[in-house]
Amino acid sequence: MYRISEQQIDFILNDISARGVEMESLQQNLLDHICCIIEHELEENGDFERFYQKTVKSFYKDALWEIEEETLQLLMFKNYYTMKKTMIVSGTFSAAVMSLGIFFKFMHWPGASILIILGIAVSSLVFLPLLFTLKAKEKQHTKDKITLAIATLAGALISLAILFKVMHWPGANLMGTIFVGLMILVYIPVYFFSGIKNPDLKVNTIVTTIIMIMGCGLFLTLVNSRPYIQDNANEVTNEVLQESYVSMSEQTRMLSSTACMAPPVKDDRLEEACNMTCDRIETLKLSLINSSEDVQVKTVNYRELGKLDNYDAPTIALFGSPNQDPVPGADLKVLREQLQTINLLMKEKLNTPVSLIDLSDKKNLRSGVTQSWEIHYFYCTPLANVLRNLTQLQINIRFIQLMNKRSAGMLQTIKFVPPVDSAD
Amino acid sequence: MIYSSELIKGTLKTIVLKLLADNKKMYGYEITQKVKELTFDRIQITEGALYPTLHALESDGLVTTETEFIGKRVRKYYSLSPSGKNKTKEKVSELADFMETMKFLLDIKPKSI
Repeated sequence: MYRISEQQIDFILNDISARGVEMESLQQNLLDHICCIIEHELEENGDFERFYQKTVKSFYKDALWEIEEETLQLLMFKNYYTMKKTMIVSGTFSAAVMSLGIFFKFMHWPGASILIILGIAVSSLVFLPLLFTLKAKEKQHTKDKITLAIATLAGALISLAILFKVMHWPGANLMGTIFVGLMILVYIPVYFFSGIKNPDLKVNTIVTTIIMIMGCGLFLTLVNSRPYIQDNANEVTNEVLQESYVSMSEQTRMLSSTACMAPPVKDDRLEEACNMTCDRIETLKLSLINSSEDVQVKTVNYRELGKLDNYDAPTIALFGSPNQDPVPGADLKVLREQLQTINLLMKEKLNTPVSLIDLSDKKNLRSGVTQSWEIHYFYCTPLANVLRNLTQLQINIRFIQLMNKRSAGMLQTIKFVPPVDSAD
Repeated sequence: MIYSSELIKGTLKTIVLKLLADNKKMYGYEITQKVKELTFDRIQITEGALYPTLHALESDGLVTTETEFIGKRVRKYYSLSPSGKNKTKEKVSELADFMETMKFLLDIKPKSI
């Protein structure tokens, strides 16, 4: 019986791992096995090296790592059904949660963001990797595996693009564009031309290709449907702004023609309150513009104001995130206080109970619900309309300032242009 | 006559489980020797098939392992877990059933004595 030295054990272990066996427990098993064979079958003064090479060769067909590959495959196969089940459950779950989230988002119900993030996280972190692993194992050719990898990447990209889009994080459009590019230029052609060759899959391939192209088209429409909304919002804004300027100039003309009917009694407190409030509104407008996507104060690009993504931005800035019971933030509170001061001073001056700036609750024309002034004009309202409403307030305040310098007698004749309602 | 590896592959799990049921704890080399001995060299389990199977049985929870240090090397002993014991009975009776079916299917006449 041969006695194996410690150096020989080290030699065998090193050789096993050099031959590509990496699993430690498998290394130990093989080491012990080889040692046993050598101990039992080699004569006491036999040639260790030669006998070892002969023995190890009998373990495999082409290479020793085949044993490890076989082991891994068996282990994987055991997990195969668990993985498949997890994949189906996670896929169904994320699809359901995501659709629900998007529905909530449309309805402006609370919890939409959580649902959407959860759905997309599960789909891109659990579902897609599992799908890729399972499908890649079924494919034999490297080309098929690469195609699959591209499809997985495209899937992850579109999920993330939609997530970034609804969360108003930057980079959404870039990801979406890469997704569409990847699909149209790489995946769909490869899929189509490899499938069309197989007579059994011909019809299936054509139908799936059409559906995929339609999907990409729908996605593009969704992302790029802004121009209409944008132009529409801009049009409305311009129109209303023009209208208010026209009415202002008209009223100014009227004021100047009827001026000096009574000696002016200028109220300095009112003058100061008006200036302060106007400045405050100006600051608020600038900060709203700054908080919106792709719009900077220095280079205000008015075309971007109507961007769909800028729908929520003012609501978030003024109310915090949209929820069931919106509470006006600090900016709106201070604004209301300042407007009330102006109203109070004006009432004093005119000796009338009527408030010139109407801060009372309003009835939403569409839903019929009575809302507070803040919610009516600023909650869930596109940036363009919020800016317009704030500008209208500034105009009205400037009017009051103007009236402050004029006589009290003709003030009742002034008409105020009401701000536009919130969008819903 | 040595049986083809394809025939052995499908029954290897059952063979290993049954051996462990009869011998309490065994290590890899011992298993291959035991099979050789019992079948008069007619069935020779290759290392390339045995160790993957042992690892799979371990991850299925059918066998448990304990290690023993022999000088510088480690020997892994395999023994049946409680669920492995049940599985062994199941597997053996399944194989017996299968052999009956094969006999019928291939129309193998019992050898005359």
